[in-house]
Amino acid sequence: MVRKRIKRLTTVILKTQFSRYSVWFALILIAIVLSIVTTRFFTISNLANVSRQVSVNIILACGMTIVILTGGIDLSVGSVLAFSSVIMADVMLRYGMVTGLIVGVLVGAGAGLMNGLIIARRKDMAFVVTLGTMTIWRSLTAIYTSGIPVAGFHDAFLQIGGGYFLSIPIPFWIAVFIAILFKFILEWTKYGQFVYAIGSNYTAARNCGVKTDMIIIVSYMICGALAAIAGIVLTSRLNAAQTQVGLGYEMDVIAAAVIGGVSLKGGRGRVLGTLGGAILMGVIRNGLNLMNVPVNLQQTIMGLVIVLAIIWDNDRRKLKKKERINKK
Amino acid sequence: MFAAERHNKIKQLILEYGKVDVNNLSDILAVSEVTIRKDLEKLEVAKFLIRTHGGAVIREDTPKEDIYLDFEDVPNIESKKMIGVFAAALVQDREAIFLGPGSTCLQIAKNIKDKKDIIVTTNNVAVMVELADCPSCRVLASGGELDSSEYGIMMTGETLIETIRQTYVNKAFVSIDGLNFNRGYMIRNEFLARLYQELKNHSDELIVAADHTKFGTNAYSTVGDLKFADKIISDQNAPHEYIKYFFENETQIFTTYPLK
Amino acid sequence: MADTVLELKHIKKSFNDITVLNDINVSLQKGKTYALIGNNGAGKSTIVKILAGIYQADAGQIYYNNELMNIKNPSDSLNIGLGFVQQELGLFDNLTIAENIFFNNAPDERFGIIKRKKAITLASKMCRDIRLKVNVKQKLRELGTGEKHIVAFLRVLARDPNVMIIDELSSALTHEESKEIFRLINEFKNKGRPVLFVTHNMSEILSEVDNVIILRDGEVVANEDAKNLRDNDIVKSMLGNRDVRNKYPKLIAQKGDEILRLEGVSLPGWIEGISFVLKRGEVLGITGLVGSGRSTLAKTIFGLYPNYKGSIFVKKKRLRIKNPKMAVQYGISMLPDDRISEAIFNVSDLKLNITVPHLSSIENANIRWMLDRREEKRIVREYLDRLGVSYFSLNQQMKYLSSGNQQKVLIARWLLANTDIIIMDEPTKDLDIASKVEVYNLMNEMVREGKAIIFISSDFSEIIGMSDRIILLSQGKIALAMDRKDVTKNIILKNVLVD
Repeated sequence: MVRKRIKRLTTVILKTQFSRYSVWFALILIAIVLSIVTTRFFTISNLANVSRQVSVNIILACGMTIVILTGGIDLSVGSVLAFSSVIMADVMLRYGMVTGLIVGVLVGAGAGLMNGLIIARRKDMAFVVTLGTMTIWRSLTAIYTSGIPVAGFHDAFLQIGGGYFLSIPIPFWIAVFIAILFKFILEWTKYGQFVYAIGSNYTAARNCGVKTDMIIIVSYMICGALAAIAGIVLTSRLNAAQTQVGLGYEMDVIAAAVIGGVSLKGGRGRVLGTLGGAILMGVIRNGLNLMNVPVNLQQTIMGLVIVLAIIWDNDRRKLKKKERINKK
Repeated sequence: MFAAERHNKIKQLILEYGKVDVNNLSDILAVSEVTIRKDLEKLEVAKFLIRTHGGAVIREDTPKEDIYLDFEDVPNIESKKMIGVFAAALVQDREAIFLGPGSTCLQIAKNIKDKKDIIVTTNNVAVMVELADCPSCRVLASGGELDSSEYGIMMTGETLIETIRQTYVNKAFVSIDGLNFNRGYMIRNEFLARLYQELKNHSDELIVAADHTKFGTNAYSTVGDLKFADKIISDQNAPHEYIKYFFENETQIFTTYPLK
Repeated sequence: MADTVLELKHIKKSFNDITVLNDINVSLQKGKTYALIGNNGAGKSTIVKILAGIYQADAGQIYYNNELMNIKNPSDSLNIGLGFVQQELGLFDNLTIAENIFFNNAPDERFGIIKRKKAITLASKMCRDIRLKVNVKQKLRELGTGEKHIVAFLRVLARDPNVMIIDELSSALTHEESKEIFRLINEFKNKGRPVLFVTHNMSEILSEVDNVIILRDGEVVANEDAKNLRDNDIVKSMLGNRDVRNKYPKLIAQKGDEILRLEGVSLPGWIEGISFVLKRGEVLGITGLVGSGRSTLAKTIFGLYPNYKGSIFVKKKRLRIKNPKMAVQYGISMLPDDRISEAIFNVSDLKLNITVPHLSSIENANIRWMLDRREEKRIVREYLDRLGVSYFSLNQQMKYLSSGNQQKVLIARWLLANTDIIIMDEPTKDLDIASKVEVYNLMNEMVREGKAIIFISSDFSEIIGMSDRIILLSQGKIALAMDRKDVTKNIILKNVLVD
């Protein structure tokens, strides 16, 4: 009797722990497979490449994670990235790097504020609202630049996107730092606790005295600001602020979160999971590239990966439920 | 771990080390810091220690050798204390009550001293001692022979039954050794079984105090079936089948919770 | 018997742990009208739903014209010829009156093509017969509530049912409208078909029906000629003779100072002129029929309706409670009746569910904006153990707990926040019996500590058993206020039924 219980307990614990870190298991698995299939994967230059490429996605995904946790979504991150980048670039060239950076982030936060103010009042309309702002910021970007990219930045600025620290690209350092920072904020501060509560049950959160409006507004502002920061990294890497940047990025960002275990209904998920999801996506893409898989097919495969991730997530929850019910 | 045990552990630690730390204590004793702070408050009031920021130190004038470490090694003392407090809350001013033998009834006695004008009939010697200095209680100690048993020191004998026959109480509080669906309420001591049966006819309400360990247990003598008691007081771990049974059969069942 | 049209034999129905129908035996005879009455929760709606095929009975048989029937779904029920007018009318606002009356029942369907003209003609005739002055080509949404009820009634009639079952004939009808409906019912009855009314309204019963069937605790306790019954008899049968005050584990705690006072609190359209005083150690029971304004009152006190009129005093200070955050700050907490939508963080773990309203208790000692997760675990574990909640792990999600344990977690939440006033709206709803008793005992502990409880429930036994004082709400106003000593269920029920 006791042995059976111990066995059951171990299985459940293993399953829970496994599912929590399943992104990382999958990552390691795929990394191993890729190292075997192609010799070019596990080289320093390739890994550095991959890490630089996923950085933008990671930064955006951190902001998206927070917003999804509150039970919402932000489809405008790609457009905000573009818009804040072109403004930042312009200001930077005229008034200096630091001013430019600050203004860029403020623009991002401002865009987030706009999203937040509307969504706080009509919380089920996040999708539609951010779909709208996505179009607004994209078109404003085009108007502002008249299609002409901004270029010609300082070397110091270019370091952000192109530099290395301890052989690891700086963008990756920035991305991981942001991920860890927000992991801390979400798991160790009151604000973080409120975010989870609102996503889990908005009405119940209000009934507990949580200032729901405030939390939602702040969350969208953070998402916007992070979009701006991602834009800084991207602009620095490309050495240009273009109208078309960030197009379609929101999909990859949402995918990273979902693969990382964030529930689109809100209230469940961890930033580190998203980090893992973004890295996993980057590694898979990189692997497909190295294997010379045509681009369109790559998209198909990525799409499949996302669908599989959702199904795996769903099944895992159902499995956990069965275990629980059996235990009772 | 319950409050009494925790207090003892804290006393031991402070005697040994001279000072204690809230953080450490909460780890060692596996309770929250809030609870530790409350414990330290109580011990400070009892003049055992002085609280400091983050902990406590032993008092200069605390005689280190002959500390009376209040070790009450009664099983389930915490449940009994709670039941005692609650049972006392059921007693109104100017009532006549009976307190039976056992540690639970002693706990009841400790908590009724602020009631006005009550008459307490009892055969429990510890209760008699406890209520001796209570100005608002009239204690009618029963006659009989002293008997020292696992119920503590109590009076027994036919004279006791006679005394009961001649009196009447509003509430009779008794404790038992076991109860279950088949045999009802049970107690090891045959004499007490008869005593309780007699009490039932001479009281408005017979109230059984039984912590959760008594449910489903067996003992030698049957006192009566499960409808014997008018009310029953237990703790928060009383089994659900019994709670359901008592409620459906219209016996008030009280379960106490250590919220403080 | 040749006269029996519809018969229920030994019908049993349980939901989860709770037996709603114990052993129902009812027979409806040709050409008679019946009133089915009983307390809330006695099982009236369940019987209707079983006949309508929405629920299936766990045991027992249904006979129509002495033939055994198997009603698995609403279609079966309609095919037998049972017609229902339900409480939630089931009409379509965006269709016309004629379309509603003949919904899924069109006259002369040939190849699926509905003869619209014929439907309109027939519908107009039916409306004229019942003196309903409408143009049947109008959309339903243009009608008043009473008129809509008549249309619902006509819809059933249009199917020419063999038995008619009406669940709560509405108090929204005018006197004239009621008269017309009863006239039609009498015609229906004279064709030899039985009619069953499920109702709360006492005066209606005695004057219009032939027989009264009384339901109590899932059983039929009387099936008598209406002429032979008086109000009192009916009420007594519905309640039984027990004094529930001896059944519920109520601890009468010492009363302290006044902690809450309402003066003339109103929310136009919902509640009006509510005034009462609540002391520490007191349980104030608030009851009344569904819709009488109890939950609205609770939510107003909790700050969810900031535009209330009147005054609220907490600890003798006049305060304006504009949102839940303020309410909690002033020491008021609420357990809403719809736990799942409004109180439980379903996908979150037990820890979050307990600590959210009072995160200051798990602040890090040195860095105030950081949370002390270790202390949180300890505190949560303590509360769960003290309340006797059985759980697997602190990290498990709320949705995997039983209802009884979920409710205890919610109570733990507000105990941690240490509010002086706790509003409990239907706290024992959906709970098994042992958990209900535990909730009652938790209420005892809370008042013993000097807290005050506002206890809202539609279960009259519970209210009488556990309250110190009772307020009966009717249509948003206080209809009755009594002390525990003086109340009996008779009085409450009488007041409830007579309006």
